[in-house]
Amino acid sequence: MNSFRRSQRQSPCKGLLIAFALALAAGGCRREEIQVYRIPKETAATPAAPMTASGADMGMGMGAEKPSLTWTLPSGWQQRPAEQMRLASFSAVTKDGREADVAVIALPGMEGKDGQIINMWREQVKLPPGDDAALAAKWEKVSIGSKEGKLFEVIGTEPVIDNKFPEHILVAVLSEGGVNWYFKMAGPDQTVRDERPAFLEFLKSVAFVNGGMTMAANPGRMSTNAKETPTQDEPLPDWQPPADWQPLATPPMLRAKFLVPGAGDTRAEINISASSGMGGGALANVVRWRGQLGLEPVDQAGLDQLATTVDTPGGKALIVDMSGTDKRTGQPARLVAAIVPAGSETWFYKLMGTGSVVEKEKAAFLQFVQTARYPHGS
Amino acid sequence: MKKWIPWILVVAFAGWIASTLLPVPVKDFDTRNFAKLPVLLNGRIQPMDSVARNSLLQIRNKQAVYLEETNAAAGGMAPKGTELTATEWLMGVLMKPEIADDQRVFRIDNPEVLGLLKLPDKEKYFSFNQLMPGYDEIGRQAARIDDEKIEAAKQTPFEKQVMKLANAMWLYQRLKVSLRPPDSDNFSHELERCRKDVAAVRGAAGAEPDMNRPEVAELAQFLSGYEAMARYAYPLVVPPADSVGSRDSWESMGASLTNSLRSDRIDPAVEHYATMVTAYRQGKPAEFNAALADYQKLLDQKYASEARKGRSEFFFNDFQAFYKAMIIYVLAFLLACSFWFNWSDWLRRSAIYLVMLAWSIHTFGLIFRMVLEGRPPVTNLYSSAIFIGWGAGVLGMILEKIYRDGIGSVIASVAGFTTLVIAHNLALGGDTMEMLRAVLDTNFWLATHVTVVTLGYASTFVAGFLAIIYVMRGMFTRTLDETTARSLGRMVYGIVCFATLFSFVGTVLGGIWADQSWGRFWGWDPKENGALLIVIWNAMILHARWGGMVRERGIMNMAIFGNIITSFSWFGVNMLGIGLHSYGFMDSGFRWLYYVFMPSQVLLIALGLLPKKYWLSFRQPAEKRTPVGPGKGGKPAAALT
Amino acid sequence: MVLDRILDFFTSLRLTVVCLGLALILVFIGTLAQVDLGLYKAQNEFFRAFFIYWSPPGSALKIPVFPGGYLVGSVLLINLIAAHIQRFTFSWKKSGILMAHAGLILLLLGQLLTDSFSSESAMHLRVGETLNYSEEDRHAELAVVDVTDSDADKVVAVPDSLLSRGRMISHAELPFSIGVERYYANSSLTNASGESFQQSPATQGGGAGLWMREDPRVTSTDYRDLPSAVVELVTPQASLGKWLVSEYLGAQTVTVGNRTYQISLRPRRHYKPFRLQLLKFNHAIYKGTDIPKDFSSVVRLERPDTGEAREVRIFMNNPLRYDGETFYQQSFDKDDGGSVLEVVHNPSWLTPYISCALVGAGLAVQFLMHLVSFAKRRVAT
Repeated sequence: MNSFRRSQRQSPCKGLLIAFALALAAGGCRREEIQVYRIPKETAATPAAPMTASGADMGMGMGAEKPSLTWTLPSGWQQRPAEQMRLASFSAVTKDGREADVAVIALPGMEGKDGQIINMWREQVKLPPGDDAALAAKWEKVSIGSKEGKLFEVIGTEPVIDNKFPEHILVAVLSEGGVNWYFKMAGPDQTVRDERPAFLEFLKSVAFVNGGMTMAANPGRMSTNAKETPTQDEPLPDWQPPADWQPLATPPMLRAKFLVPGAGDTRAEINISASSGMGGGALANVVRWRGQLGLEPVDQAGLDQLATTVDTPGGKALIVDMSGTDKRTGQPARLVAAIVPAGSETWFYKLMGTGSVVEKEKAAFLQFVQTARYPHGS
Repeated sequence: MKKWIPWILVVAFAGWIASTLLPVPVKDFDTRNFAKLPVLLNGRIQPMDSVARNSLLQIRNKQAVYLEETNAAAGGMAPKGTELTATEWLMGVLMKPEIADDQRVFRIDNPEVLGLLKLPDKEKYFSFNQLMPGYDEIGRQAARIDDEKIEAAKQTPFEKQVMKLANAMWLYQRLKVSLRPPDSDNFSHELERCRKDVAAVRGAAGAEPDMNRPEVAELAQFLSGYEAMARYAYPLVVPPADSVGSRDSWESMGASLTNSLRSDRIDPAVEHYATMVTAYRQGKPAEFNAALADYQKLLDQKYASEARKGRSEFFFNDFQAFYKAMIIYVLAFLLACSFWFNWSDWLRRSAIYLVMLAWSIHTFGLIFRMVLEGRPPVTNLYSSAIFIGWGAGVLGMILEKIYRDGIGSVIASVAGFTTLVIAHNLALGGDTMEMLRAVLDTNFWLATHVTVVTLGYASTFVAGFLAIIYVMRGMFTRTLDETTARSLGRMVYGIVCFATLFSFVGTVLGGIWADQSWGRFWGWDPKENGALLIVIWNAMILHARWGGMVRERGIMNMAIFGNIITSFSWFGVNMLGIGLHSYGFMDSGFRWLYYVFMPSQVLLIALGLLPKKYWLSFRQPAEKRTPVGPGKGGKPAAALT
Repeated sequence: MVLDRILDFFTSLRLTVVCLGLALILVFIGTLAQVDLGLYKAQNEFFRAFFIYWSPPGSALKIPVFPGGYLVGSVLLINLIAAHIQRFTFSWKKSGILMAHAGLILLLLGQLLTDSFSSESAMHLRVGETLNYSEEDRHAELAVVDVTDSDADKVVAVPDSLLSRGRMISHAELPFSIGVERYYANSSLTNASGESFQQSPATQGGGAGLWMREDPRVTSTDYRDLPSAVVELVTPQASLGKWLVSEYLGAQTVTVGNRTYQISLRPRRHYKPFRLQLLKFNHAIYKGTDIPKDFSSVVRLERPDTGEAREVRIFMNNPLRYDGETFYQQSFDKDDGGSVLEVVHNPSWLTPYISCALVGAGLAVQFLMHLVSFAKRRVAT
């Protein structure tokens, strides 16, 4: 009797359990089938993304604010970490291991400055400077992706690399929407010549993409919760100092300082500081600078005659250019300064030193001032 | 007469406690009020006193400095043989480090490290100056350990000592530049000069500075000192200039001074501290105390709540509630144990009264911590230890009230004492009131899951210790008569039921919290697994008992094993270093847990398994020495409650 | 009778104690195993399995050496249910235990259901980015997307489990058959030869000329596997060549007839009928420390077919529950410019809540009853 009752109770129970187990098995396997579905159109196609070795963190996945480019790397080329102003950095490596440096840089507001840039490169390969206009006119047509750009070439004659090889710089420039894109290959002369075809192929493979993340999602490291605390108390503006300006340790009360060495013992220094509000006004500061050059002060009318203005993102900046005798050294000196409004602050940029050096640097200095972007908005 | 002894003892200890609350007269420098000054460190407002105590704990495992030997130069520093409170020591480091550098505060135990630094190996405490010659070597060793990413659990004793010493020396140097620029002698005077120099360089227009002036050089020197202070300062001592806006943006002295160079404004807090530093160096207590009082007035105006926090936390540190409770628990334990051999009721009552006194102090400390932190009682490993002792104390007192045989008092006092010692060791890592990381920042779950699960731990431990009493008394004494054994059996059963309930509910609440946080009720995380082990084991005890598979002795042995499981779950899983719960581990606890505690429990179980004939109490009928009290005899006994 | 003996076995209290003991050992060794194997792998091998296997070194033989989580759990469940059915006598005295056991059954069943039916994925959004899908980073899929039409794309997704089997894959909706020549669950790719790298056999697309290497699976929770595969696409007419597909490479274009397809190996995607846009991500830390104070994301939820559009703040301990899924703040990008939301679909999420209440109440009732009767007895004596 007892066992009958028991078995009566057990069979529905067992049946339930078996059914349950089957349901579990079915649910578990559900995922492993081919799925077909329709989705609305996605914005950008995802072309071939750049390669890394061993899935190291690329850093490209993070820079959503940088303009988006894609390309195909020629065989043998290796990607390098992009520092400072570069969007991307590569090494063009020949079959026998010689390397040339390739950089992609984008700079806004460079119209009409081609000649100056070329002179900068000429200086880098130790060629004498040339005439801006003439240099700017000498270029070849080159395809960059689906667009056309200018190819400039600068070949040195002096051995500058390892004291053995002359340097050869090959640059393709594309002007698009107020921004100049520079694709620059630089290295020993023979290496650059050898890699020239690969470079041109590379240029053809470049494509500009609109908006959003187009690179394959950041391979390698997933986001972790580790956070490095920021160290800087006062952020500097986002600026691009010319390559030949050497940053110096910031003295008290200045925000930044650079040194530009010239020939012999000629030199110029760039002092940058900022004040909240108007910083005392333009006239007071110009008078002070005149004092540093041993010049007589001027009044407002005199200042209006003396000064010019240029446009900056924050408004009109006042520029003065004066020559006199440096009271500290007793030598003749020239001073070019800019007073730039930036939101609630005023920034003071002062280029001062030997006349020849200041003359050379003036254009780059002004461009530097004009392209600085301030973090608190303006 | 004897029945008054319990009361006398209670009054005596209460008097002792009250005596520590008496105001202390100010002599020379008002260190007690300096200790109350609020600063921001580790993300929370704390008094200088806490900074001092926590730093000392990291440097020498103690909260005070006993000067065995010192080259006490003239100038206001204590002579040999005195004891410095934490704040007195800190003031020396902050303001007159040339004296502090000679004080033997750094503790080194490991002989290999002593050999590495060429220090005499008979001694334990060394001064900063003694350690300086070996500083590079320590740095090198520490960098090596860091580079190889050797985790704390896997470090050799040598490596652990190296890391501890390196951290201690680094902390010490950071303290040195927290209030005063390095090598500055008369800080107030320098501050005046700095102000004048800034005015000169800025000129009348107050705009772009004239970098050609001669004062620039001196300013550069000041600035490099201030920048070092800004970069390395440990506590942030300068309150935000604007007390209406964000009250979190405290700054270091250095950062405030560097900003002063740009804005021409020196923060009043900086001025007050500079005056204090100068007065201390020059040995002028009156000036020091005046500047201190002025600063306190300023704080009370603009930062009253921070100042209050500084004062309350100073009181809490000074009162040392847990240390006091520990002492009283020990005495209670001794009295309760003697009761088992003497059976005089005054012993039993003294024990339980003292337990209650100690437990009240324990509770006071617990609640004060809750108020200071603004959190439920358990937020980290340290506070879990405090709470387990507290919970076990409650259970012990209840057991004593019901059974009146001293067992409850023993449980409460042993648990209280042991957990407070564990807590003290956990505090050696530094600040125990650290801010909680974002995922833990929820008072609801802290109050529910964490509290309940900790009570589950506490009750499993109580059951285990009851079982230990059973085994110890049964094996080594004749006091385990049948009634006592039966009582213990019922106690253990009752506590295990309680433990099952709390550990299960606590564990599931933890899962629900995880579901709210990460979408995953159960992730087999080591800490979760540890809690699950406790639930399973408690359930096993109950089911084995119901099925008749174990009887009295078996249950006791199982309960002792519960101690092993619970200690693994409480500490062992933290030492594995994996999973979501791996925050909060301790250094030397590993040794204590795996080489001392767990083997001791295994030994006790082995004893418990020995056949009855080896038990002193079971060999011959135990003398029916029952305690005088209700529950055993008839009604007259009941009247004696 | 044998049946009786089986029933007796399954309803015995002894079995309960033995199972609990096995569970204890299992949880303990499973916890220790995580130190070496990593959380995920230890979970799968110890807890989400019927047996724990051991392979003698050098052989592929798998010997079961210990019952796994599923086996112990199922036996416990059967034991619990069977014992109750057999000894089912409702009495108020036992009501506490009955409630507690009912709650326990619910909990175990609920967890089994969760294991089978729940899915976890993640949405990684940069500030300003909009996404309408989430990705599972432990499973990959080979996506063949027909992009010819201008209004919508058709996706055929082949899960990685099918790819790893190495057999030919055909489907009515696929324009070609896929022959899997090589599948690496975790891999590295490079464009120059390196140690232990092999030249990829790909003949077409971005993968031709690349070098590939199989890597061991990752065990730490901070990293994930990056798979690659070499597939041959075959139409009835001809072979379209061998293609290297990988997460390192983006999508590659294949043309069949007059239709264009994009193929890519990517984390398994779950598309949603709505989209989320990350408006703001906030990461606060306590001043002067690196202890995180708060993570929160403000997202905009938009659903085209119902016109729903609203802003939601997701932060620690406060997920967004929408459309049967829950979105949690999981982690974030190092530069604080992006947030990772975890998306969980778990139909049985309520079971632990109910179970907790049931068991808690049941145990409390049972023990209170004991306590009351104990107190009564003491007063009586």
